[in-house]
Amino acid sequence: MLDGKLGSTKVGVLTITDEEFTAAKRIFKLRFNFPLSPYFANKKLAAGPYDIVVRQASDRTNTPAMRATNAFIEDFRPAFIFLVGTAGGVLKKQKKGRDGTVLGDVIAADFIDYTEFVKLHGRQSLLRKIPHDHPSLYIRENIAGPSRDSTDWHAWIGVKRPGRDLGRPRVIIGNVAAGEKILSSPSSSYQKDVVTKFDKALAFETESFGVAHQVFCARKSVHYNPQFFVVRGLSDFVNSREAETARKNWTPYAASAALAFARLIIEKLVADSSI
Amino acid sequence: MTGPNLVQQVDVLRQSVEAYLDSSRELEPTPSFAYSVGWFENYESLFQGEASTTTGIEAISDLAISTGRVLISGKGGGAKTVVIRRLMRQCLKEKTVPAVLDLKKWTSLQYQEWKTLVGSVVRMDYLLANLGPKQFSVMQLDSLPLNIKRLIFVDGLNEVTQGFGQEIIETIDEYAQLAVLTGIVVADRMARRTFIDEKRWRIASIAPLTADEIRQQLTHKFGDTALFDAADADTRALLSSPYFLNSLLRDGTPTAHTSSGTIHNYFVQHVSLSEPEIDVAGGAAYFAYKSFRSRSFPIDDFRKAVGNKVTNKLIDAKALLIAGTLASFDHHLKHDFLASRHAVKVGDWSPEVLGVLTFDASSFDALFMSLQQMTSSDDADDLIKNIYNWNPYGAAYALTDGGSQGRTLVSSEMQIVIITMLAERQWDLMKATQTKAKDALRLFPKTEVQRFLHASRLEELFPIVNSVSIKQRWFHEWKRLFTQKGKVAARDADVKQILNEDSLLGWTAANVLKRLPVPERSQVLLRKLIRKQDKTVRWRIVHVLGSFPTKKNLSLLFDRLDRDGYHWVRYGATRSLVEMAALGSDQIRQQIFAGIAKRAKALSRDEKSLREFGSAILIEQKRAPKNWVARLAPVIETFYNVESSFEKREQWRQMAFRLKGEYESRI
Repeated sequence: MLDGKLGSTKVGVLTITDEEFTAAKRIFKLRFNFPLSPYFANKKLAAGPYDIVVRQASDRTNTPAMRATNAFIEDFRPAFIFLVGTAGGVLKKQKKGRDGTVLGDVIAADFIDYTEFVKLHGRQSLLRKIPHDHPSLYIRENIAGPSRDSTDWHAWIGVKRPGRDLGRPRVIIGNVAAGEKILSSPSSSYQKDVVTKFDKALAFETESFGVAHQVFCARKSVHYNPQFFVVRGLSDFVNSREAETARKNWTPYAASAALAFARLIIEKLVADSSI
Repeated sequence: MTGPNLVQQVDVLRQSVEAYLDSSRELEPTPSFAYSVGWFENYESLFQGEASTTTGIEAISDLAISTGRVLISGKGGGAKTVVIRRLMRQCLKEKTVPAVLDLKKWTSLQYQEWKTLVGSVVRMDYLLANLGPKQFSVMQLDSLPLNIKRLIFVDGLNEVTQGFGQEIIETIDEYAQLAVLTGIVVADRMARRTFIDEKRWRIASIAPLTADEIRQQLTHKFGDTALFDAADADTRALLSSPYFLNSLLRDGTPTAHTSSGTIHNYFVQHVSLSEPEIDVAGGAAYFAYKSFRSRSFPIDDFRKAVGNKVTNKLIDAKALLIAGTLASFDHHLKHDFLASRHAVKVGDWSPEVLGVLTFDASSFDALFMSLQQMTSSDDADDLIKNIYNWNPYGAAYALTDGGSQGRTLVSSEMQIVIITMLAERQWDLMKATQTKAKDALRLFPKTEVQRFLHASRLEELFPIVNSVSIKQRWFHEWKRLFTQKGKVAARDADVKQILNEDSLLGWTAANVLKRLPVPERSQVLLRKLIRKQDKTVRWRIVHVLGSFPTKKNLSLLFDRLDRDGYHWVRYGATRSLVEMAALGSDQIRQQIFAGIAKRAKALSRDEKSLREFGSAILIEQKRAPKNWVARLAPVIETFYNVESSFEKREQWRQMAFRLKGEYESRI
């Protein structure tokens, strides 16, 4: 593994909001803060690479996520970069979202769409593209996919599931769409347009493009081939009238579910000494 | 990967660096001096000379590898190049591959080519291919085995114009983030640069030689230290500069009281040039700067201008180094001296001439050497006024750099005026101006500027100015003009001072008018005058009108932005429009930003004005209107949309985020 400016780690985990980072600290048992830095590990090592280092981005949206990813790569050169947190699903019918998702479910991304780069041409809004990576096929095929039916990670959630529903979170693999606006208004024509245009997206959020683009930009060396992965817990349905309330109630659980599943994948990665 | 090919590659690269160093051995003093390096927390402590720690020079390489980027900041002649060469030789002894980007090789052609390059890797490749041993490329450095460290030395960021210097440092900064096992060391003059993340840089400065070191070197050469012991403080200060000590030891150049005097001695005694020959060489040196905007120039052109005899003397003395068809002086101070000698002789201190001498305000050595050559106080004061008129910060550098402080004929009143006018900028609306003013003030000795830096508002400067004992008559008028503030409207006579050919009074009037009530009839006059007056007066007028947010002033500023042929007027109009947007009503603000958005395409081609727009919108937080970000957002979005490259778009996106971060609490 390559050394960064502060050390090296096999896995780097990036979270965004305070709720997500609080859950990450608990689930990954982060007790050591690298001095004068945003990085945490479970303990200080005298030498050698860390298994997992976690940090929080300075803010929401893609630009801070991009900066945090860039700094992570410069400081630790993680072989695997995870973006873990919450996102909004899309309500279809009977309290269920696309692909039958419900609040608290975990989306493991197989594709990232950036929703914001458009050309407004007459009445049309034409999509434009900016290059970026997509979530690691290796992780999806070899670890996340086969672990979908596992319940081993449920015990790590550690937060009471809201409401009366006693269900358990499922893992669904699918598209994630990232923009710059937090979607939370069913009546907004912009939101309707985005949700319709990205009809396969199971979750909408505001950071995975930043991470994906920065990983793409980091591919400047023959010695460094970072893999990244996005895990999102559904905290609300963006097109529901109760989106705000749901997000408030479900965020701690959804964040913890995403981090718990991420931990399962990461532990398998860390345990594999061949990687 | 460590196959035989890679091992061979490493050898080829190292050999090319060795050959590069050996081809210009004369740049390294013999015997070598003992240097120490001061390390600074930030630019503020650098300008104040407050090092947090001192080490040997080897720490530069170690820190560059471990932290990524080291900036060696210092004055001309301070041994930056010598230290870089010594560190490169050290790399060759260890398992490190050094690469060098020698910006002295930058030519006018490269300014054009550089503009067409997009992306840090492409630009870095271009720098490697053109400014060092030819064998290097980004891909090649990257593919070296992982047990090999890479150190890239960038020598002489101040050898190119300021704008390009900034673009080069942005390229290097971006490259350093992701390059594997790579450290970057940049040598630059004592001036603030903008970095992606300032905390990622370690700032160093090579300390002046100690008295012990100077004595040791003198004893080794002359058998005693009598020369140093008998020298006055000015000469001793010059001898603490490695360049001047080496000139004495190697070439036998007698050290004078000033750097220009010492270099003059060099040309007379070591190169055996007569005064007329120095003048001719001066002319050619100036025209080389003017024509090529580079330290390198075609030797044939130079030879044609000065003749074979002078050219050969310079080559024989190793003052002039030849590389193929190009020549350069072995140290830029020699070229600067000759160019300044020509400028002094001609006596034209127009902004164009000052731009040529300084590579557009990138390197100020030629200015302080010009100042040192002035033979009367009036001439020295005039030069400072002209420099101030062109670039206020340049005046501070000219007064303080290269040991000029106290060694020129500039009057004490003029120095106070420059310090005071810089000090007023501490309270400018734009944060970048505040920072630059403080940086410039910190160049002066603490005892002279502490009162100014500690003042919390403009009025606190007035008693300082009033307490100056006056020998120069002009100072009375300047003082009367400058110390005006309050509710009394500007007098007609003071409004007309903006036309004053004396740049000091003209700019002082412009600055004072900005803080006084200016009646509408006076504003009408200013708006009328702008159509007739010379370009500097036009600049002053747009500067003043930014403080008076009215529809008529607004449309005049847009008119200048659209049509003025002088880039500084367009720059001033851009700045004043932003100022007006901050000071005016929400309606004015919307009109201004809509107007700027409408011109986004045109502005994106006007580099100076565009850069100023990006800098000016970062105004002091507490003075920002509550809807500053909300009103600016559509403009930023328009600039984002008119750019076609992702990199440029990304800059606007980053700007949007910065604005949000800095002014968010006020939304």
